[in-house]
Amino acid sequence: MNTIEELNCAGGESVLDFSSVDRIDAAAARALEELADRSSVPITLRGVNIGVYRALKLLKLAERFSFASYENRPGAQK
Amino acid sequence: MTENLSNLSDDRIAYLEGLVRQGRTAAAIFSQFTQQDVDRIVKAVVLAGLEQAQYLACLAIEETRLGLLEDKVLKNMVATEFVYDYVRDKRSVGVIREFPGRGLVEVADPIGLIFSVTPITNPTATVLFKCIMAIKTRNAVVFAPHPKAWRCCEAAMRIMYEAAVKHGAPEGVFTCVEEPTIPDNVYLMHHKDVRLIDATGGPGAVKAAYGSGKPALGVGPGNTPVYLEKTAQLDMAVVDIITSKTFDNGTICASEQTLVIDDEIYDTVLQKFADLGAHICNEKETAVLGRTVIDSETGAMQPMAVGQKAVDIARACGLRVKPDTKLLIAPIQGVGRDYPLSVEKLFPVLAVYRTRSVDEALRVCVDVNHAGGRGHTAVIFSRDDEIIRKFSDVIDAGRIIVNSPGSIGALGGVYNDMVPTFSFGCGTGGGNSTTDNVNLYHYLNIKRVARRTPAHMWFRVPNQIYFNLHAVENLRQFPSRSTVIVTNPHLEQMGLVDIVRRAIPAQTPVRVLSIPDAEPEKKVVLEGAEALNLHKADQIIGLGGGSVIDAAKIMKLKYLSPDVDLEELAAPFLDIRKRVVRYPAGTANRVRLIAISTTSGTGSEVTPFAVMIDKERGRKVTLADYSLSPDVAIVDPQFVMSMPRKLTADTGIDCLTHALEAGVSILASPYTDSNAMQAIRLAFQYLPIAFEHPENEEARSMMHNAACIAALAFANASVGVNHALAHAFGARFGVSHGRANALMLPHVLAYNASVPSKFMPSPNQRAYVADKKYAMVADLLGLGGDTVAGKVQNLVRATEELLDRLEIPRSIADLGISEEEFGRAVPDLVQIAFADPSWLSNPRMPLTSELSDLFWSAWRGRSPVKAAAEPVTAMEGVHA
Repeated sequence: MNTIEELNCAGGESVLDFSSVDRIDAAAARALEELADRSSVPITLRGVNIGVYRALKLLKLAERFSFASYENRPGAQK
Repeated sequence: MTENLSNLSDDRIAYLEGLVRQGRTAAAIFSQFTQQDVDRIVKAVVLAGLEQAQYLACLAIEETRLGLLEDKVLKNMVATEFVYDYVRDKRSVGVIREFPGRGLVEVADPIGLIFSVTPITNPTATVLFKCIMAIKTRNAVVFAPHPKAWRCCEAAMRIMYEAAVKHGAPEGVFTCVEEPTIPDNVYLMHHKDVRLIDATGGPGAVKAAYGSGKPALGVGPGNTPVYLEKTAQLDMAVVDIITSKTFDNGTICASEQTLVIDDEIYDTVLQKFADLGAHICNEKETAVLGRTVIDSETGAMQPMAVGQKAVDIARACGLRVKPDTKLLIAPIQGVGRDYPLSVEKLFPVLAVYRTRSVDEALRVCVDVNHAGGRGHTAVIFSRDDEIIRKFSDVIDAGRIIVNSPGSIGALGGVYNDMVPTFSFGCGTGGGNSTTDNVNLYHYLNIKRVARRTPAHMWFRVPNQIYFNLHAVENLRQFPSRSTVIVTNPHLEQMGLVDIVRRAIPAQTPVRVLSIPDAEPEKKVVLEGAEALNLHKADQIIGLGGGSVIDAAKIMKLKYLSPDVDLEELAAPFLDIRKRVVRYPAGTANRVRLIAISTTSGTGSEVTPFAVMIDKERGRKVTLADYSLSPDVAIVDPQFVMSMPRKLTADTGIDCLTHALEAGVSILASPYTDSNAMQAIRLAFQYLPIAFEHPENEEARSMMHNAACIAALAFANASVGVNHALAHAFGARFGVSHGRANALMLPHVLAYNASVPSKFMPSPNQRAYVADKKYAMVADLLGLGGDTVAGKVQNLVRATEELLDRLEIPRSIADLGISEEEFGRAVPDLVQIAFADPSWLSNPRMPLTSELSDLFWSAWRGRSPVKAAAEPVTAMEGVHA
C-alpha cells in the first residue's frame, strides 16, 4: 500500500507542512499533482511561502489544495 | 490542450502537449528563482554556447547549406559574448529599476512559456540568443526552428539546456519541436498555455504569430536602402558595405540591398568596389541576374541564391566573373516590380542607383524602404549631419545605421551602442509591435509600483505687503521715472488719488488713468496698455477695488508682452503647474505693480487672478497666473473708511467666503490654513462692528487686513463651489459678488460638511477633513459643541446670524425672484456653475443634481440643505 492509499484509507483530512520548503522543483510539482489526482481526502498545505504558492498557482495546482498558515493554528506563537 | 486547427495526428498533438506541459511546469518552477540563481545560470549557458560556437556553426552550414562558416562562428560568439556583456549587470528579477524622486519602482515578472520561431538564415545564433534572454528573465521556451534548420537549432538548444539544468535551471526550461511543420506552429501559437510568441523568420511566420491573437514579437523581412552621400569617407564606406553585404553571404536581413550613390562620386565608388573584389554587372548581366535570382512572378528571392557565394550565384546565372569575386553589383534605374533586384536579396548581390541630387537620393531610399523594408533597417554614409537628419526623418526603420555596416551594425554592440540582438523589431511599418532590437525587457512583464507622491505645494505672495493706517506712505521708498495710477473717476473725486500722489516722491512724473467703475472691459485694458507704453511707465499703481486692480494687472501683462493672446491665456486648467498655456516669463519684474485696495473683500492686491469682460464675444475672461500678482500691496484702512454699509457687508462676506473655502480646499496647506483661520476670526469679530460702526477705525483696519489675509490663503488654496454658484447666480440676476456669495454660504457649509456622494481626487489630502476643519473654525470662534457635527451646526448657525446682522436677505426669494423665474434659470445656472473652475478645489465634487439642490436651497433661504452628518472619520489628516 503506498502513502497516498494509506492517506485515503485513514480518512479525515491530511495536512502537509510546507513551512521549511523554500522552493519546489518539477519533481515536487509532479508529486503534488499526483497527490491531488489520487487523494480522496482533503489536503491542506500549511505554511506555504508565497513564492511556492505562486508557482502552484501558475501550475493550476493551488485550487486543488487548501492552505493554512501557522498563525491560524490554535495556540500558535507568532 | 488547444483546438486542433491544423489536423494534426493524435500522436503529434500528444507530443506537442508534452512539450508545452514541460515548459509550463518549468516556467512555474522558474518563477521562484532569485537574481543570483538566474545570473549564475546565464553565465553557465553563455560559456557553454561560446565554447560550442564553431561546432554549432559547422552544424548550421552542414544542414542549411547557407552562409559562411567563419561568419556563422562570429554570429554565435556575438549571440553569446556580446549579449552576455549587455545582460550581465541588468536586473531582471524583482525590483529592476527605482526612481526614488518619483516614487516609482519597476518590478519584473517572467512571462511564462514562450513559443519561439527561429529562422534558417541565422539558426544557431538566434537560438543561443533567445536561450540567454529566457534564462535571464526566468521564462521557458518551446523552439520551433525552420524545418530546414531544426537539427542544428535543436543541438544549440540542447547545449544551452544541459548547461542550464546542470546549474539549477528547471527541467523542461527549453524544448525543441523535432521535424517541425507549419501545422505544429499553428497548434502551438494557439495553445492556451503559450504566453508569448517570439517569431523571427519569414513573413509567413510573423503573420501567423500576429494572427494567433497572442501577444507576439514578430520580426520579419527587410529591404535596407543605403545612401552613400558625396561627403562620406568613401574608402571606409566601400569596405563597410562589402563587409556587411558579404557577411554570412548576406543572410542577415539588415544587410544592404540597394546602394544609392551621389552622381559626383558614383564612378569612383564603383571603381573602389571593383578594386576590392566586386564585380560590376553590365546592363545585360544585370538583367540575367535579376531573372535568375528573383522569382518574376512573386518578386521573391529564389532559394537557390539565398546565402550563397557571389561566384556561385554568378556561375548559376552564366556570368563570367573573377574567381575571388566577393560581391555582384547590379546598377538599376528604378525601384519596384520592373526592377527585380530592388527587393530584399539575402545573398551577396547589391543593387546600385545613381542619383543627381540629395532629394532624388532620399526619394529612391524611401522607395526601397517601402518595397518590403518598412520598419527594418536603413544605412547612410555621410559627414553631413543635416542630410543624416533628413534621412532619419523620412526613412521608416527601427535602426538607422550611420557610417557603419548595416548587418553587423544592426546587431548592436559591435559598431555602435545599440542593444545586441538577433531579432529586429520593425514597428508598425513592418506589422510589429516594437521598433526595438528585441532584448530581455521584451521577455518581461514590467510592473510599475507607484507610490503616492504628495504634489509639491507652494505659497506664493507679493514680496511686500504694507498694512495699517497710513501704510500708503511707504510709496516714498519706490523710485520711479514714470508712474501711472490706474483708478476710477469716483475715487478720484473722493480725493483718494491725491492721497496717493502725496505719498509718491515729488520728482516722480505721475499720470492718472481713470477707467470706468465696473469690471474692466477688454477694450479698456488694451487702451490702458497703450497708455502705459506711451508714458514708458516703470511703475503702475492700481488704486481701487478688485475691478481696478484686475485691470491694472492685465494692462501690465499686455504692456510688457504685447503679443500675448489674452483669450488663449484664459484657457481652463486643472492644475496651474501643468496648464497648457504658459504666461510670458521673465518680464514681470521690469515694471513694478503696486496695488492699493479701496474695498475690504476681493483681496485682489495680493492674488494672481484678474477678470475682464470681452464685450465683443459676450464673455468673461478670467486670467490666473502668479506673474499677475502685484509686486507690492498696500493695505491702508484710510482708503476704506468711507465704504458704504452695504458694500462693507457684501465685501466683508466675500472675504469670509474666501477664507472658509480656502480652509477646506483640497489645495489647503498649513500655510494657507493659518491665514484662512486668522481671516475667519477677524471677519467674525470685526465685520459686524465695521458694518454697524463704519467710523470704527480698528474694525475697518482689521477687516481690511482680514480681506488681504484671506486672499493670501485663497491665492494659493483657491476657492470652492460657493464661488462657482455665486458667479453663475450673480451674473444672471445682477447681484453683487459678495451678496451672491452670502446667499449660498450657509448651504455650502452644510453641504461640504456632509459625506460626499463623490470625493475629489486630492493627493495632498490624507482623509476627508472638511467637516473637521469647520469644527476647528467653530472651536476657534468659541462656538461650542461636543461633536464635529455639533460644531459644524454651530458654525452654520453663527454664519446665519452674522448674515442677519449684516442685513443680508435670507433667501434668493427675498430678492424678489419668483419661483417660476428662478426655476427657468436653474438649468442654465447649473451648467454655468459646473463649468466654473472655482469648484475644482472644493473638497466635494459637486454633482449637477447637487448644484441644483444648492441653488434651490439658497432660493428657499437659510436652512441648510442637509444637517451636518456624523464625522467622516476621526480628526486625523487635518493640517492645522
